[in-house]
Amino acid sequence: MAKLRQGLLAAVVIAAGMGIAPASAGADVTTPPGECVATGHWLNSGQTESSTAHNPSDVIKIPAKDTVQWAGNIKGYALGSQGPRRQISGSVELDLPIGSATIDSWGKSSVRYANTGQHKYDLPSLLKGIKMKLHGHHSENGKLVCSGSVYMEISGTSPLVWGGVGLLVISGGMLFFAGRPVFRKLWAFEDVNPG
Amino acid sequence: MRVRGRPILGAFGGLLFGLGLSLVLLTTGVLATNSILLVILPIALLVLGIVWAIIAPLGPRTPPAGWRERPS
Repeated sequence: MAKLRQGLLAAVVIAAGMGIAPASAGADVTTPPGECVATGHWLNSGQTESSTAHNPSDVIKIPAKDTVQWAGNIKGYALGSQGPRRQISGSVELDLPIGSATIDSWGKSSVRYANTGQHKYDLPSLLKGIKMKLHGHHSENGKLVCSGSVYMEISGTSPLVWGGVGLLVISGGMLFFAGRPVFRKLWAFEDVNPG
Repeated sequence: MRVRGRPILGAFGGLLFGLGLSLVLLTTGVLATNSILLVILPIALLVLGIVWAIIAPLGPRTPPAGWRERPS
Protein backbone atom coordinates (compact mmCIF):
# COMPACT_ATOMS: atom_id res chain seq x y z
CA MET A 1 0.00 0.00 0.00
CA ALA A 2 2.87 2.33 0.86
CA LYS A 3 4.48 1.48 -2.46
CA LEU A 4 1.24 2.22 -4.27
CA ARG A 5 0.93 5.52 -2.46
CA GLN A 6 4.49 6.45 -3.29
CA GLY A 7 3.99 5.51 -6.89
CA LEU A 8 0.76 7.45 -7.18
CA LEU A 9 2.27 10.39 -5.37
CA ALA A 10 5.19 10.42 -7.75
CA ALA A 11 2.82 10.24 -10.65
CA VAL A 12 0.70 13.03 -9.23
CA VAL A 13 3.56 15.33 -8.45
CA ILE A 14 4.76 14.72 -11.90
CA ALA A 15 1.46 14.70 -13.65
CA ALA A 16 0.21 17.67 -11.77
CA GLY A 17 3.61 18.88 -12.67
CA MET A 18 5.68 21.51 -11.05
CA GLY A 19 7.41 23.22 -13.76
CA ILE A 20 9.38 25.75 -15.43
CA ALA A 21 8.57 24.51 -18.88
CA PRO A 22 7.08 26.80 -21.50
CA ALA A 23 3.32 27.06 -21.14
CA SER A 24 0.48 27.17 -23.59
CA ALA A 25 -1.44 30.44 -23.38
CA GLY A 26 -3.40 30.71 -20.13
CA ALA A 27 -3.07 27.03 -19.22
CA ASP A 28 -2.44 26.01 -15.62
CA VAL A 29 -3.74 23.28 -13.39
CA THR A 30 -3.18 25.37 -10.27
CA THR A 31 -5.21 28.15 -8.70
CA PRO A 32 -4.15 30.94 -8.56
CA PRO A 33 -2.32 30.31 -11.83
CA GLY A 34 1.46 30.23 -11.50
CA GLU A 35 1.48 30.40 -7.71
CA CYS A 36 2.94 26.87 -7.52
CA VAL A 37 4.69 25.31 -10.48
CA ALA A 38 5.76 21.73 -11.09
CA THR A 39 7.37 19.72 -13.86
CA GLY A 40 8.25 16.11 -14.41
CA HIS A 41 10.48 14.40 -16.93
CA TRP A 42 10.23 10.65 -17.44
CA LEU A 43 13.69 9.28 -18.02
CA ASN A 44 12.76 6.11 -19.94
CA SER A 45 9.88 7.37 -22.05
CA GLY A 46 11.29 10.86 -22.51
CA GLN A 47 7.92 12.45 -21.68
CA THR A 48 7.87 15.88 -20.03
CA GLU A 49 4.84 17.41 -18.32
CA SER A 50 4.30 20.73 -16.65
CA SER A 51 1.53 22.22 -14.53
CA THR A 52 1.65 25.32 -16.69
CA ALA A 53 1.03 23.35 -19.87
CA HIS A 54 -2.28 21.81 -18.86
CA ASN A 55 -5.80 22.72 -17.82
CA PRO A 56 -7.67 20.97 -14.97
CA SER A 57 -9.81 19.11 -17.54
CA ASP A 58 -6.77 17.62 -19.30
CA VAL A 59 -5.94 13.94 -19.01
CA ILE A 60 -2.22 13.32 -18.56
CA LYS A 61 -1.15 9.82 -19.58
CA ILE A 62 1.91 8.43 -17.84
CA PRO A 63 3.83 5.14 -18.12
CA ALA A 64 3.08 2.44 -15.55
CA LYS A 65 6.75 1.99 -14.78
CA ASP A 66 9.47 4.58 -15.10
CA THR A 67 11.79 6.93 -13.25
CA VAL A 68 10.73 10.52 -13.08
CA GLN A 69 12.84 13.60 -12.49
CA TRP A 70 10.55 16.09 -10.78
CA ALA A 71 10.92 19.70 -9.74
CA GLY A 72 8.63 22.13 -7.98
CA ASN A 73 8.66 25.63 -6.63
CA ILE A 74 6.62 28.38 -5.09
CA LYS A 75 6.26 31.43 -7.32
CA GLY A 76 9.39 33.59 -7.32
CA TYR A 77 11.76 30.97 -5.93
CA ALA A 78 14.40 29.23 -8.03
CA LEU A 79 15.41 25.62 -7.46
CA GLY A 80 17.63 25.21 -4.42
CA SER A 81 16.64 28.54 -2.91
CA GLN A 82 15.66 28.87 0.74
CA GLY A 83 13.66 31.43 2.69
CA PRO A 84 12.30 32.14 6.16
CA ARG A 85 11.15 29.02 8.05
CA ARG A 86 7.36 28.64 8.02
CA GLN A 87 4.71 26.03 8.80
CA ILE A 88 3.60 24.12 5.73
CA SER A 89 0.79 21.66 5.10
CA GLY A 90 -0.90 20.08 2.15
CA SER A 91 -2.14 16.93 0.55
CA VAL A 92 -2.74 15.12 -2.71
CA GLU A 93 -6.04 13.28 -2.95
CA LEU A 94 -7.81 10.96 -5.33
CA ASP A 95 -11.39 12.09 -5.95
CA LEU A 96 -14.00 9.34 -5.63
CA PRO A 97 -17.75 9.42 -6.42
CA ILE A 98 -18.36 10.12 -2.73
CA GLY A 99 -15.50 11.78 -0.87
CA SER A 100 -11.83 11.31 -1.62
CA ALA A 101 -8.82 9.21 -0.61
CA THR A 102 -5.63 10.87 0.57
CA ILE A 103 -2.62 9.65 -1.39
CA ASP A 104 -0.15 11.71 0.60
CA SER A 105 -0.02 14.67 2.94
CA TRP A 106 2.71 16.82 4.42
CA GLY A 107 3.19 19.22 7.31
CA LYS A 108 5.69 20.57 9.85
CA SER A 109 8.01 23.47 9.03
CA SER A 110 10.47 24.06 6.20
CA VAL A 111 12.91 26.61 4.83
CA ARG A 112 12.75 25.22 1.31
CA TYR A 113 10.62 27.02 -1.25
CA ALA A 114 11.68 24.90 -4.22
CA ASN A 115 12.71 21.31 -4.51
CA THR A 116 13.73 18.66 -7.00
CA GLY A 117 14.28 14.94 -6.95
CA GLN A 118 14.10 11.64 -8.76
CA HIS A 119 11.60 8.88 -8.11
CA LYS A 120 11.44 5.38 -9.50
CA TYR A 121 7.96 3.88 -9.50
CA ASP A 122 6.11 0.78 -10.67
CA LEU A 123 2.33 1.09 -10.52
CA PRO A 124 -0.02 -1.95 -10.39
CA SER A 125 -1.41 -3.01 -13.76
CA LEU A 126 -4.92 -2.96 -12.27
CA LEU A 127 -4.80 0.85 -12.39
CA LYS A 128 -4.01 1.01 -16.10
CA GLY A 129 -6.54 2.84 -18.25
CA ILE A 130 -8.43 4.29 -15.28
CA LYS A 131 -8.99 8.02 -15.48
CA MET A 132 -8.12 9.30 -12.01
CA LYS A 133 -9.16 12.75 -10.87
CA LEU A 134 -6.51 14.10 -8.54
CA HIS A 135 -6.52 17.28 -6.56
CA GLY A 136 -4.05 18.82 -4.20
CA HIS A 137 -3.41 21.90 -2.12
CA HIS A 138 -0.51 23.55 -0.33
CA SER A 139 -0.77 25.94 2.62
CA GLU A 140 1.81 28.00 4.47
CA ASN A 141 1.24 29.38 7.97
CA GLY A 142 -2.36 28.24 7.69
CA LYS A 143 -3.00 30.20 4.52
CA LEU A 144 -3.80 28.43 1.25
CA VAL A 145 -1.03 29.15 -1.26
CA CYS A 146 -2.29 27.11 -4.18
CA SER A 147 -4.56 24.27 -5.14
CA GLY A 148 -5.06 22.37 -8.31
CA SER A 149 -6.53 19.35 -10.00
CA VAL A 150 -5.94 17.27 -13.09
CA TYR A 151 -6.92 13.92 -14.57
CA MET A 152 -4.23 11.25 -14.72
CA GLU A 153 -4.30 7.99 -16.63
CA ILE A 154 -1.76 5.19 -16.64
CA SER A 155 -1.08 3.95 -20.18
CA GLY A 156 -2.31 0.46 -21.01
CA THR A 157 -5.35 -1.70 -20.36
CA SER A 158 -6.36 -2.94 -16.94
CA PRO A 159 -7.08 -6.67 -16.53
CA LEU A 160 -10.14 -5.50 -14.60
CA VAL A 161 -11.79 -4.81 -17.98
CA TRP A 162 -12.19 -8.57 -18.46
CA GLY A 163 -13.63 -8.90 -14.97
CA GLY A 164 -16.20 -6.28 -15.92
CA VAL A 165 -17.04 -8.04 -19.19
CA GLY A 166 -17.39 -11.34 -17.32
CA LEU A 167 -19.77 -9.71 -14.84
CA LEU A 168 -21.84 -8.33 -17.72
CA VAL A 169 -22.15 -11.77 -19.35
CA ILE A 170 -23.05 -13.58 -16.11
CA SER A 171 -25.51 -10.92 -14.97
CA GLY A 172 -27.00 -10.78 -18.48
CA GLY A 173 -27.82 -14.47 -18.15
CA MET A 174 -29.31 -13.89 -14.72
CA LEU A 175 -31.49 -11.09 -16.10
CA PHE A 176 -32.63 -13.32 -18.96
CA PHE A 177 -33.91 -15.98 -16.57
CA ALA A 178 -35.31 -13.36 -14.22
CA GLY A 179 -37.34 -11.94 -17.10
CA ARG A 180 -39.05 -15.23 -18.00
CA PRO A 181 -42.55 -15.60 -16.58
CA VAL A 182 -43.18 -18.07 -13.81
CA PHE A 183 -46.74 -19.27 -13.32
CA ARG A 184 -47.64 -19.50 -9.68
CA LYS A 185 -50.87 -20.93 -8.44
CA LEU A 186 -52.50 -18.57 -6.00
CA TRP A 187 -55.30 -20.97 -5.32
CA ALA A 188 -55.74 -24.39 -6.85
CA PHE A 189 -59.07 -26.07 -7.28
CA GLU A 190 -57.75 -29.10 -5.42
CA ASP A 191 -56.94 -26.98 -2.39
CA VAL A 192 -60.60 -26.30 -1.68
CA ASN A 193 -61.97 -29.56 -3.08
CA PRO A 194 -59.74 -32.30 -1.74
CA GLY A 195 -60.25 -35.72 -3.27
CA MET B 1 -52.95 -16.72 -11.48
CA ARG B 2 -50.04 -14.31 -11.08
CA VAL B 3 -47.56 -14.00 -13.91
CA ARG B 4 -44.14 -12.64 -13.05
CA GLY B 5 -40.46 -13.53 -13.23
CA ARG B 6 -37.95 -13.86 -10.43
CA PRO B 7 -37.54 -10.49 -8.69
CA ILE B 8 -34.73 -11.58 -6.35
CA LEU B 9 -32.74 -13.00 -9.25
CA GLY B 10 -33.55 -9.80 -11.14
CA ALA B 11 -32.23 -7.68 -8.27
CA PHE B 12 -28.94 -9.59 -8.10
CA GLY B 13 -28.66 -9.67 -11.88
CA GLY B 14 -29.33 -5.94 -12.13
CA LEU B 15 -26.85 -5.12 -9.37
CA LEU B 16 -24.10 -7.26 -10.95
CA PHE B 17 -24.89 -5.82 -14.38
CA GLY B 18 -24.53 -2.31 -12.95
CA LEU B 19 -21.27 -3.20 -11.22
CA GLY B 20 -19.91 -4.78 -14.40
CA LEU B 21 -20.96 -1.81 -16.50
CA SER B 22 -19.38 0.62 -14.02
CA LEU B 23 -16.18 -1.44 -13.99
CA VAL B 24 -15.96 -1.52 -17.80
CA LEU B 25 -16.68 2.21 -18.10
CA LEU B 26 -14.11 2.97 -15.40
CA THR B 27 -11.32 0.77 -16.73
CA THR B 28 -11.78 1.96 -20.31
CA GLY B 29 -11.49 5.57 -19.18
CA VAL B 30 -15.03 6.55 -20.19
CA LEU B 31 -15.83 7.52 -16.60
CA ALA B 32 -13.36 9.06 -14.17
CA THR B 33 -12.90 7.93 -10.57
CA ASN B 34 -14.96 10.88 -9.32
CA SER B 35 -18.00 10.19 -11.51
CA ILE B 36 -21.19 9.77 -9.48
CA LEU B 37 -22.48 7.46 -12.23
CA LEU B 38 -20.23 4.76 -10.79
CA VAL B 39 -22.57 4.68 -7.77
CA ILE B 40 -25.83 5.46 -9.54
CA LEU B 41 -25.53 2.74 -12.22
CA PRO B 42 -25.50 -0.31 -9.87
CA ILE B 43 -28.34 1.08 -7.75
CA ALA B 44 -30.46 2.08 -10.75
CA LEU B 45 -29.90 -1.27 -12.46
CA LEU B 46 -30.76 -3.12 -9.25
CA VAL B 47 -34.15 -1.38 -9.27
CA LEU B 48 -34.55 -1.92 -13.01
CA GLY B 49 -33.69 -5.60 -12.53
CA ILE B 50 -36.54 -5.98 -10.06
CA VAL B 51 -38.96 -4.13 -12.35
CA TRP B 52 -37.76 -6.23 -15.30
CA ALA B 53 -38.42 -9.45 -13.39
CA ILE B 54 -41.86 -8.29 -12.25
CA ILE B 55 -42.89 -7.40 -15.80
CA ALA B 56 -41.21 -10.60 -17.07
CA PRO B 57 -41.50 -9.78 -20.77
CA LEU B 58 -39.66 -12.87 -22.01
CA GLY B 59 -41.45 -16.08 -22.93
CA PRO B 60 -45.14 -17.10 -23.09
CA ARG B 61 -47.65 -15.31 -20.88
CA THR B 62 -50.38 -17.91 -21.19
CA PRO B 63 -50.58 -20.57 -18.50
CA PRO B 64 -49.61 -24.16 -19.26
CA ALA B 65 -52.32 -26.66 -20.30
CA GLY B 66 -54.46 -27.92 -17.42
CA TRP B 67 -54.01 -24.74 -15.36
CA ARG B 68 -57.05 -23.93 -13.26
CA GLU B 69 -57.85 -20.51 -11.88
CA ARG B 70 -58.94 -19.84 -8.34
CA PRO B 71 -62.69 -20.47 -8.08
CA SER B 72 -64.71 -17.29 -7.77
